[in-house]
Amino acid sequence: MSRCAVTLAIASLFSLVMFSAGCAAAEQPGSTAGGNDDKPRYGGVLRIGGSEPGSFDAVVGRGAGDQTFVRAVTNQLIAADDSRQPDPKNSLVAKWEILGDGKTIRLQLRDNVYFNDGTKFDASVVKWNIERVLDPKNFSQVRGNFVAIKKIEVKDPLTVVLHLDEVDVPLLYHLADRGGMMHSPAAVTKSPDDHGVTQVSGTGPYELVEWVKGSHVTVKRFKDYWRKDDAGNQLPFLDGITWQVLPDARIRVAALETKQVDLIDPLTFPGEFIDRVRGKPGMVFYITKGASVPALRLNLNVFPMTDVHLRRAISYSLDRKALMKIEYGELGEYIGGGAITPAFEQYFVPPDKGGVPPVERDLQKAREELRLAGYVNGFEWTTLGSSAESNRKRLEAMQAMQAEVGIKMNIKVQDGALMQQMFFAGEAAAFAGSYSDRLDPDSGLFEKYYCAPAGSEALGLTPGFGGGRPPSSNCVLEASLLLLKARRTSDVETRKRLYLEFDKLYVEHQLELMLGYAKRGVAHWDYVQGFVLGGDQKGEYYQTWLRK
Amino acid sequence: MQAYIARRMLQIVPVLVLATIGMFLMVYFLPGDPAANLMGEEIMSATPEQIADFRQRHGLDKPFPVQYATWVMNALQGDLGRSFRNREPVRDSIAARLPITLELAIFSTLIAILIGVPCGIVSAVKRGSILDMVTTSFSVGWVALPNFWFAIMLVMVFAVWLQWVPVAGFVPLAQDPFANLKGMLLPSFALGSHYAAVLARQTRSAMLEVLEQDYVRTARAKGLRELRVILIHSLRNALIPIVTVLGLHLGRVLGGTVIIETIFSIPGMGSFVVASINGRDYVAAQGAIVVLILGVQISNLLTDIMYAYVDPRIRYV
Repeated sequence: MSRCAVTLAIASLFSLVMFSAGCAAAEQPGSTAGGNDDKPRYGGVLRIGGSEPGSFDAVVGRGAGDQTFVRAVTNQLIAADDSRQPDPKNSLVAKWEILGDGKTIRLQLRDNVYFNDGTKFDASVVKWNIERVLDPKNFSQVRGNFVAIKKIEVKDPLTVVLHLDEVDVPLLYHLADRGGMMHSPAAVTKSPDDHGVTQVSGTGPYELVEWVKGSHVTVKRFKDYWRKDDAGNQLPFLDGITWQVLPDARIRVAALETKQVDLIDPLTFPGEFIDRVRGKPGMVFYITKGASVPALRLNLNVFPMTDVHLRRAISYSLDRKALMKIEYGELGEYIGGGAITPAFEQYFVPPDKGGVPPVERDLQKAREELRLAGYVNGFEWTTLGSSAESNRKRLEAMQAMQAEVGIKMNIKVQDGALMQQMFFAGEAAAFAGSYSDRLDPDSGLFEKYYCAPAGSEALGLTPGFGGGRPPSSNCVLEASLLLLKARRTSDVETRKRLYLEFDKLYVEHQLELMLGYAKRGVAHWDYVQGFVLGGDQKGEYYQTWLRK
Repeated sequence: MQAYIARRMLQIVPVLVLATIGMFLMVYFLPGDPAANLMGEEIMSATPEQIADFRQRHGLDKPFPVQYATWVMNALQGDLGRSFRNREPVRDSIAARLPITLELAIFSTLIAILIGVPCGIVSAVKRGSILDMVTTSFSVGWVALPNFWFAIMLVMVFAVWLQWVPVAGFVPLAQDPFANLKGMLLPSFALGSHYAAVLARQTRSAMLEVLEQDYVRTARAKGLRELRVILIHSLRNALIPIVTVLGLHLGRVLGGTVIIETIFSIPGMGSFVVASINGRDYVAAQGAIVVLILGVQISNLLTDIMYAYVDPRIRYV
């Protein structure tokens, strides 16, 4: 090749590279372009870095992370604000009343609300959706939250009456959860296999445009959305949202730094990279309250979890503060407490105000518990865990801590689906996971910890099990009774007292090997305005806008 | 040649049959009940009738040979079933992802050729020189380097620091060719550079052998320019092992590179297969694996055809 040709080739390559650099540095859509006016503006597409849903169908889906997506396209019958209080302004139910003995709930529906397939939202739609949750064929994970509903009565097109078997105060909060998210019967019936995957019906601010698995999810403004903001502006402000699927934490943060995305989904913000965003000019970053609980879920039918002394021995061997730091960095904390997280502001009692104190690492107490159980030299047991890096680090640290008192913990790595099956089949004593907050403590606690074998009616219990772990005769009946009482009263102070008593038993009996609370990190550029977290600390985008 | 190609295409059929039977058997005897996996916690509260109904709806109640035959009949008609996890037709999932993986495979192969072959040639021609030592050291080190680490480094330098290319994400070629190419630069380079190192080593080795041959000495003695001697007379004869390595690389990349796809958020076949297997989504996994086996077979066939073009002495009857 001649020198001239080589020179030309190098020059062309250089030009191409510089041209690309210039293009890369060009202003990204949605970025700040001057102006300090804080009045919401219409337009723009918000780009979010994070994960992808399992399904957009609120009934069929199971992932905690789904809710962020599902809420973008649906509304709940009863929405909750960020202090977890029912929010009529954002609810499909304009007004609700609990009648008589508390076993009848009347729901007055909002008028002139339509699904994105044109179906009108009315009482028959509500009945159809709740029945869909209750239908065992759909395997809805929130079916247990609605089992108190005996009959759903359509009084008129805008009035539904729920008749309950027993008083169920948290039911209103359950209507703010998956079970209360409405889909169009016509859309679901027309293509049940495709609903939630390639298309989804909802009354929410956006409608699904495209979901490319492993790549991105795109929604666009639903032009017939029923809601306006407090100033009377039609919502939503954005033209649309694109979630970019970025499984690697480093890449996710890098995408935010380079403005390839405008915001990181708080559910997926990696605690170990806080320093990359905190204090960065133009970046908004803050940490919210602890909203999820990493724990080992225990099968009380399988050794060593059959013995409370052995559960305590394991518990005392653990340095929870260190474990939380390993897994969550600055977002992890252990301050004491039990299953009620600090995000439940109405119900959480801080340890320094009479709440449950922290279980400190105490090898002497651990050995004492071993002695009481008759295992002075320790024992061996197996837990399940996923292959996720953070999960693995946590378990390996726990393994090392327990080894110091002679407890040998084996780790069997399995994926989520098989892990749960093995756990329920009794093939392992525990599995490592975490659970995130729901809107009411009852939603999570009852399904996991209610345990009332046959014959417990004498104690005022309704025999049955929450369904969140294998049925067992190894129950702490007093704890179940507290949960049942909390379900049947609406008085906040009473519930707070009941849940505090429950937490004390939870920790005393180590119903779960809880490790602490994981907070949420919120990071976005300052041109993103109006971003809010719902009551359960998941992102909501109905009033988000971009300052251009 | 046509007869050979036709024979090789026919040979793919028994390979596919054996591979799919083996795959079905493995899946059939895997630990874990697909019904339980899909039902999750519900299986503990489901009645036997509900479990039976679930099995029946998903064809899990039939004997293994019936399940396999049904699958084959459907597959021949282009129906690879629906994913257990999200009910999406497997055919549609594969159709969306395969072109992306092909694009990544082609780009990474081009990069491997453009870097590896010249480096190997230079290293062989300048054998014993500092250039040879540097090139050899780099290629040995590069083979040992984990490509996920290299990928992250590429992102940090070119996407975060210099901001020349996007951090991650995939834009379809039809939607925006320029954005597509920009987005594929780093993943292709991360993947291709590893094979470039392998190719450089292979090229050097093959070239060294050829450069010692009498006909090369004759070509030089005839007064031909050195570049012609190297590229026309030597490289052409060293291509067989190079083509072999390229063929293996192509087959491997078609199988998907999960780590690169995960880091760069590319919805390719690798991540699809792994997600299906992890989720015990047997239907999706089977469909994807069959397509990948077919891809590897075709890649091998193409490699064999290339031999005939590279070396006229090779004739297929």
